[in-house]
Amino acid sequence: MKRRGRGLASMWYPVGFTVAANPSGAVVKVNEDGTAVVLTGTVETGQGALGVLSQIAAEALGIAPNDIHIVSGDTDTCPMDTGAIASRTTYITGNAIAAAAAMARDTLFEVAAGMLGVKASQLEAKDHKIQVKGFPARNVPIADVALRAHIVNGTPPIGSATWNPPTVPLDPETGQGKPFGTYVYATQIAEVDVDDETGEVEVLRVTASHDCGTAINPMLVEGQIEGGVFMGLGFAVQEEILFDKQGKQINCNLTNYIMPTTLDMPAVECDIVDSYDETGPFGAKAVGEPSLVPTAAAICNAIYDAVGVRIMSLPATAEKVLAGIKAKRAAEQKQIPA
Amino acid sequence: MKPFGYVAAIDSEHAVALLAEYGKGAKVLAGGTDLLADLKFSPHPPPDVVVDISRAADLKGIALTDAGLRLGAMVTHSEIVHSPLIAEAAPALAEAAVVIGAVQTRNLGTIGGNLITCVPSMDSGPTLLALDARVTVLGPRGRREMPLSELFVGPRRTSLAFDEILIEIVVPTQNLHKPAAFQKFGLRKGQALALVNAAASFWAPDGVFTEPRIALGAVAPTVIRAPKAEAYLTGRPVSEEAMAEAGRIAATEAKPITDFRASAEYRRDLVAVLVKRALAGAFGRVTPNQKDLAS
Repeated sequence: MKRRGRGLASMWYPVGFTVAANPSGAVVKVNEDGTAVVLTGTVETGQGALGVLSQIAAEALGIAPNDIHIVSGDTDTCPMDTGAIASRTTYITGNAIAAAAAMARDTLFEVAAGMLGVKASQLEAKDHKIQVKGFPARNVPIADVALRAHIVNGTPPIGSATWNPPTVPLDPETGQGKPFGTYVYATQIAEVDVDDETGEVEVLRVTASHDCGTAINPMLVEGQIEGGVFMGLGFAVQEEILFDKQGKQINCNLTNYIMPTTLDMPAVECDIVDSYDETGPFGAKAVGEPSLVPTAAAICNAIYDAVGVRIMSLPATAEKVLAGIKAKRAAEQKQIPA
Repeated sequence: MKPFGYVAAIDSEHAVALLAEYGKGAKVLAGGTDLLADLKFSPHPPPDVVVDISRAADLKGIALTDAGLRLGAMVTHSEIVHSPLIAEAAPALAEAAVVIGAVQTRNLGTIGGNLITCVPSMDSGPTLLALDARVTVLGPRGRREMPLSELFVGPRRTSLAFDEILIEIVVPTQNLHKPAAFQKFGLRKGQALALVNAAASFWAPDGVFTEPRIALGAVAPTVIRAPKAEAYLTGRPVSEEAMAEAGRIAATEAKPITDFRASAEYRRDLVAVLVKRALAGAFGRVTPNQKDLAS
C-alpha cells in the first residue's frame, strides 16, 4: 500500500568566503558602435553564468544583453577569477563586471556631458542612450557617444575592476568572525508516496522557495533549482558509490550507478523570494549549490511522515526503507503486552 | 571496438545458411541493443562476422494464426506496446514491453533478442512463460518447436545451437484473453534492470483459480516458473489471502543472489509482493466469458 507523506527542510548557505582572498576581475570595453566586450576569467559550466554576467554588464551600460560579447575562461587574456566554484560567480564576478562597466560608463558620461551641456553627474544610461535624469528627451545614442569618445575626445570608454569580498580574519581564539560575504536561504517541501511493502519511495512533488537576492534571470534561477532538486533526489534515494574490498568502484557506469531519469523527476514548483542584497550586483546573491541542500532532508522527513521511519544514512533505498518499516513493526509487536 | 565482418540475411533461411557458412565465429544481429554493448564491453573476443537478420521479412509481424498469437522474432518492444492485437488478446505482454530500457531501446530491441540474450532479468520472459508460450527455431536440420521454458538454459545460455535462430514466439490460442499481468521492480523508473519481475495468469471460472501460472525473473539463473505456488492456487477460491500466500510460497521457490544492487532477502520480499500484485492485476482482467473468447 502506498502511504503519502510530506516533509519540509530549510537551509542557509554561505556565499563569497572572506577568510582568504577571493577576488574576481573584469574588463569592460564599449565599442564604437555602442556594443561592448567583457573580459572575465570565469568559466561557463552550463549553468548560464555568462548570460547573467551579460545582463549585469548590459544593465550597467544601458544596452541590451545581446549587445555584449563575453570573452571568458582564458587567463592569458582575461583577468583572474577565483573560479566558477562555491556559487560565487553571480555575486563576485558579477560585482567586478558591474564595477568595470560603471567605470566605462563614467567615461561615456564625461563625453556626453559635453554633447548635452550638462554635468556628468546628471546623466544616466538607458535604452541605448545617454540621457539627462528626469529629462529623457534630452539624450544622445550611446553609439554616438562611444564613437566620439574614441575618435574626438581620445578617451576610449574602457573600465577595469576587481572585487573581493572584504577579507575578515577569524578570531584565533574563538574562531568567530564574518566568514562569508552574504548568505542565501531556502525552504523545500517534498511530497512522497512510500510503498510499505517494497519500501520504494516515489517523490511526487517538490516545492522550492529560494532567496537568491535579486533574480537577475528568473528562468535560469528556476533551472538551477530544478537541477538542484534532481541532484538532491538522487542524493536522497538512489546515488551511492560502492567499492569492493580492494577499494575499486563496483558501480562505475550509468547502468549500475543509479541516478534519477526524467521519469523519476517530481513536479518542481519554484518560488523565488523577493529580496535585495546591498552587497551584490543589482542586489543578487546566489542559487547554484544551495538549490540542492534541503532536498534530501525534505524527502527523508516526508518518508518519516509517510511511514514513521527515520532514515539516518543516505541514500534511502527501497531496501533500506523496507528494513526500517519491518524494524518498526517488530518494535511495535514487542510493545504489545502479553 | 575491434573490427568485424557484416552480412545481411534476406530471410530466415538465408540467415541459417550464413550461420552455417561462418560457423561459431558468427553472431546474430537483431535489434543490436545487447550485441552492441557486448561488442564494446565484453571481455570475450569479438565475432568474426555479424549476421544481420533485421531485414528478414518473415521474422517480422504480429498476427493471429491457427496456432495462436504469433510474434516474429524481430518484433520490437515498441511494436508490442502499440499493437491493438496484443492490447486485445494479451495485454500483459505490452505491460512487460513498455518497461524495457527506454524508448530508444524499445524502438530497436526485439522480443527475440531479449529472449535469446537470456539474462535472468529479461522483462519479456515471465509473461510469455505465464501464457505457456511456444517458440519455433530454424536451423540446417529444419524447424523445431518447443515450449519457451526449454529455450532457457542458464544466464546468457539458451538451448539454441550456434547455427540455429529463433524465428517466432506463439501464445497458444487457448491462452489468448487469459487474464494475466506483469510486475517489475527496478531501482529507477527509466532504463532500469529488473531487480525482480514477475508475471501471473489464471482463469477464474466460478471464482476458482484454474490453470494458474506464476513466472519469476531475476531471481534464478533463468526466468523460472513457481510450481509450488501454482499448485497451492489450483482449485482454491480466488481471494487476496490466497494471492498473498502464493506470493510467499513463490518467494521460497526463488533462488536470488545477494549483490551490490540488493540482498537476496530483499529480492525474496519483492517476489512475494510482485507475485501477489501480478495475481491481483490478472484478476482485474477477469471477465465472465473470458474462456469463450479464447476458443
